[in-house]
Amino acid sequence: MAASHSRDGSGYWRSLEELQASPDFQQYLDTEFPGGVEPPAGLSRRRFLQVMSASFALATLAGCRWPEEKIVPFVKRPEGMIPGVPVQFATAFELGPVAWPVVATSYDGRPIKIDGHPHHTLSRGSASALAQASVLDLYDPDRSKSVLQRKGARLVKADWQQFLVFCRRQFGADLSGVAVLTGSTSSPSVRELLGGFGRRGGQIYLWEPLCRRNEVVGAAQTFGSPMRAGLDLTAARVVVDFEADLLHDHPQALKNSRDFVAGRRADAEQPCRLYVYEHTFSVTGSTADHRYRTAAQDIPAAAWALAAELVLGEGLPLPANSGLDRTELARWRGHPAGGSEIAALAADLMANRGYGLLLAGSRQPPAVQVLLNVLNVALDNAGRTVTYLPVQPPEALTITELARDLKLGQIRTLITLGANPVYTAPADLNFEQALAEVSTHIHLGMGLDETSTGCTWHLPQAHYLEGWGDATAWDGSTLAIQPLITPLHGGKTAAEVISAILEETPRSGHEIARATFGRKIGSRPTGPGFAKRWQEYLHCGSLAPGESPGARSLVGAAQVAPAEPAELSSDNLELNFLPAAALYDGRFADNAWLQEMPDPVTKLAWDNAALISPKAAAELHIAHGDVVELAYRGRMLELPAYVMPGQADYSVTVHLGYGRNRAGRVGKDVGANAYKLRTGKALAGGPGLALRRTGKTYPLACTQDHHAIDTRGAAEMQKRVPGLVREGTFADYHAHPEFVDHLGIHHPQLESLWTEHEYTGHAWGLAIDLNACTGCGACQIACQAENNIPVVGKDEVGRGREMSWLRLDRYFLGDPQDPKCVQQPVGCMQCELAPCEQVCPVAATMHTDEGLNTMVYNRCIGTRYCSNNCPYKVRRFNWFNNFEDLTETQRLVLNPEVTVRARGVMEKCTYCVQRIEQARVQARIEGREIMDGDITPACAQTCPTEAIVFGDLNDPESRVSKLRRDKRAYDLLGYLNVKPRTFYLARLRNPNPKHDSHVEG
Amino acid sequence: MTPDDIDRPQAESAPSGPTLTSRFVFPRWTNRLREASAVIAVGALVYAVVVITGVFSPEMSATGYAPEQPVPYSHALHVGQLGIDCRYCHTSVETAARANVPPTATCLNCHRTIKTESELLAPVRASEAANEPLQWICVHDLPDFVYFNHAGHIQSGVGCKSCHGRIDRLEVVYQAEGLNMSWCLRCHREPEAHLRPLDKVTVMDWRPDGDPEELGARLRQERGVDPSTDCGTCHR
Repeated sequence: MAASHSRDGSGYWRSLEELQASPDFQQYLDTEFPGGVEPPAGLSRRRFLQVMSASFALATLAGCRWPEEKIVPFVKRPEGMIPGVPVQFATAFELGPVAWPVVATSYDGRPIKIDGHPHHTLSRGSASALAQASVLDLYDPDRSKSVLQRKGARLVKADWQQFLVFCRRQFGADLSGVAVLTGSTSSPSVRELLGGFGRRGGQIYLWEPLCRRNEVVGAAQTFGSPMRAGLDLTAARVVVDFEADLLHDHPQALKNSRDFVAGRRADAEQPCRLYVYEHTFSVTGSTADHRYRTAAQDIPAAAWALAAELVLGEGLPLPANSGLDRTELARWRGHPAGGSEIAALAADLMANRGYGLLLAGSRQPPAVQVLLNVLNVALDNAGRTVTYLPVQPPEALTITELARDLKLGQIRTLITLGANPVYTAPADLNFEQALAEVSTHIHLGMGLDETSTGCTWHLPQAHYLEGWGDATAWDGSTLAIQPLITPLHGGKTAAEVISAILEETPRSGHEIARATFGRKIGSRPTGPGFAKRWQEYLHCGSLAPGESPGARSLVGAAQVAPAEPAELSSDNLELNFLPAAALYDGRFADNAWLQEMPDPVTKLAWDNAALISPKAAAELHIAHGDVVELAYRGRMLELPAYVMPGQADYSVTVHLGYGRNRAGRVGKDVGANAYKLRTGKALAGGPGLALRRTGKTYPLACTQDHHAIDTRGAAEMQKRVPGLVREGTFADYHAHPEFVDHLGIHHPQLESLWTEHEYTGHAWGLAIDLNACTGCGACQIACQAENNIPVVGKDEVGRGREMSWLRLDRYFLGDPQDPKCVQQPVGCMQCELAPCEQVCPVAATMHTDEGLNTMVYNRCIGTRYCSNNCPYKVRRFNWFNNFEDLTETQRLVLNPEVTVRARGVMEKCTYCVQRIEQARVQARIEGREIMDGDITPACAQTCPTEAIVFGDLNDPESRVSKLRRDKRAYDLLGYLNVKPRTFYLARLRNPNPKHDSHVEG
Repeated sequence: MTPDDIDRPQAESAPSGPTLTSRFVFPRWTNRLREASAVIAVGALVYAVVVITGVFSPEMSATGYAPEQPVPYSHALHVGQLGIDCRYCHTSVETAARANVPPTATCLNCHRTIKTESELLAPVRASEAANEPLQWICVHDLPDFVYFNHAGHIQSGVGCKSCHGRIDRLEVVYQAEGLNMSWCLRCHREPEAHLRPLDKVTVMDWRPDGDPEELGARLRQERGVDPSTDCGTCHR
């Protein structure tokens, strides 16, 4: 285990600045308000205290009885509805071409939380950060409030009736000259309606900025018809991921994470091994056993090098119609893109035939997909770890054709359904200009955006929690979308709008969804048995797909070998466009929770940046935070640089989704719009990027260096991190199961200065398994939604004042150019001998007899002593009245079971005490004891890998007790004798013993 | 050493002009505070008396708070005389945090046929006709940082009367108890006096047969009632 501490980075470190102790970092440490932000202007602290002491005298006079509160019961309460008891509905969250099964919680009629669907294989109770945060969009104050119609230069208020009258006049039986532009939708109802639209002469165009078309096309070339790859990682022993980010940015990422970790439990006979080729550190890359920094353009060559090694080196027999040519393969054998360890990798795959998996990301061209599909078949992986299942891609034209047809004047009326092409379309299409050609533009959207500028009609779109619908999950099951609330602003769904255009008497979303379901089950909505099937469908939220064995026979498509990759250098950089972990393609730009969620690896919030490797940055004399000008294919964009360890050299990555210039108050002008560089020929990016310093700098709000001390602190930290994030290899673990005990600081027998509590009842504890954590960040959003955690904005994050109760520490290990990465969630440890409790002058943080370290907000006077004395730095202080400016609508998202904290109050993780108390009452109602599994904190509930386990440490049979007894269990800073209740389990890496580069354990 | 000595520091040893320590010496005018000390002491005493009587008075704890409700509903009539059980209207009291105030429809279950012309019931009929809820005024209004759960208490055998008083005798509901934290804690520390058999929870005039203390202790033991006095029980 690398436990040394030095500037060369052989140990652990958090950022390059800290590692190199740069002058900038020293300044960062010396300033009171770090991160390049201004200290609060206006009143000085001293003056403020003077003013406050004067106003204090006045305040005492004002205290009187609090305002009268009304109790407003129903006139006629719906059956089964109990005020104050949350109810849950199965529904589905659509994200581009796929949908995710979720369960939405409604509290007194308002949706407040999204969780994963506990019974669906794609979710098993976990939901992605995006799905969970989507509930906030429902209450976005900048959603459009009514139908708008253009009168001259202005959009004026109208209503749906007027729109319907317009439709009757505008649309006849023949819809030629009418076009629909939609994002790729998985909804059977919408597709059905669009089919009807097409049959009447209407033209359908499809634009999804982040599509998975390459995979489908690749599969079609391999197997003869369009396919999607259903993955089953439980069976996988060797996974090779070519920038597919299969644990995070994948249509079944949650299932993949769960299955992958299930195959890597510490007691696994043959734990799964993950190899990743990628240019930018992804969640999957940070979990990998072997990560090869590879520019995106080199990945086809790497895949061919692997194929060559498998066929020529390992003698893999090729199946019929493989389309592979041995002489061509020979040309790629040993290609440098594959790296020096490729022979060992090929041997590993060969040794685990039928238990391997090769996968390329959606940005890789179809040719690479074809090659890997063939290899999966050749290695007998197909049908086991990967099942190719038929899909029906929608029949639609592309956005390029739309731009052409618009310019040719072939389209009189354009209807954009939820898409935002003016922002997302390839820059070379000049879509805004093309759109000006159309005489009537009907825009359906959640709010006014870039595309709605100049529209003839703007229609408010219903949020998915407001309307009926359906969608298709990646496994092919049909998911029900059911509303939890009447549309807040009278919005309609896409299906309802198409119906209004097509049908004499427009149908409601409910009727449409029922009719589609009827067709699926072969029964009419009025038919016998329909009602029961419909109820069942709504109750479980999905209709299982038909069984399919999956394709295995190849059609013999010619394998197209890639061109020799271009020589990259600091003058010819490669540009990559990736979806932002938080904002996806920009559709979540108005979502404050997501804006403030740090990127899993860069830890950057409220911004995007040009990620560049330290080597390339040094050659170009670019420092972290310098504003650089990106020149790519004749287009320019200014963006701050982010020097990113582990980035492939000469490969620059920019995240899409930022720089919206027409969005709500949250998302407008946050970051830079990378779509401006993205052209139709290079949707994924590619070589040809030039980078130039502008001389300007830009402050980036990055949470990774928060709580830094000084350079001595950094050295000390490096010394201690091996004790904080303990890790070893499976080999270490099997040889010395107690290896974790030797990684911490050795100390004499600890003796307590305090009288210790006795815990005779429950003793709550939390286990965090670092071997399971991928760092995806879903727990952070779950916590945010459950516990009413405020959003503070970029400036405050820059000052280190983010409010997240659960932070994800990310450490790098080793060489700054090519480090390994490890993630560690840290929340309040609920110490038994809590240092915070000992210093609170007003007893606002107290200990319960079950071991919780509770915060009593109404007692807290904001001295912040507790935070200063907390060794884990997990307490958060409300510097402002963060909820003061929220509108009535925005307040609806708050969880009524948790106090909304005011200014001047400290807060922190409570182990979701509201859920503990609820479980206690429930057990009492049912006349039993609380059982293991009754209580699940929000973070543990959503964790796709079950890395977080909560329970009673006094119950020897509870899951958490068993983990406590695990040999890998250790305490964070245990030598302080604070006796934390949260404990960690060491991470185990599974390097290939034949590789030379793995860190010795 | 008298205060006057402090007033005049040894000039010969101190260099002229402000010194490092001179800022720590009280300025001269503070001497006048000595004369004012008697006034300050008396003032502080008066202030303390006012604050303490004010804060601890029943008025400040809102005991007896009896706002006028939109319908002059009489618990004395419905519960006391007619003997309707609490749970007929407050349906969720055994299973949910809130006891729930009945919807208009519940009133009309009976009043569709009884006293259909009563002037007092006009707001109820109006509520149904207009589909507008009645707006009752909350009497037992806990601070928003307190989370009280009815079900937990009822299922432990705490009688309604313990917190709400003899509702069956009230023409107008008022706040019978202080509902302040020390009042809550009294029962959380010694719950025996408030425990009843589960089927007697809503009985207003229930009295234990035999020794109440012995029964309370037995019920507590049997049901495992161990109320917590930890902050997190009610504050979160």
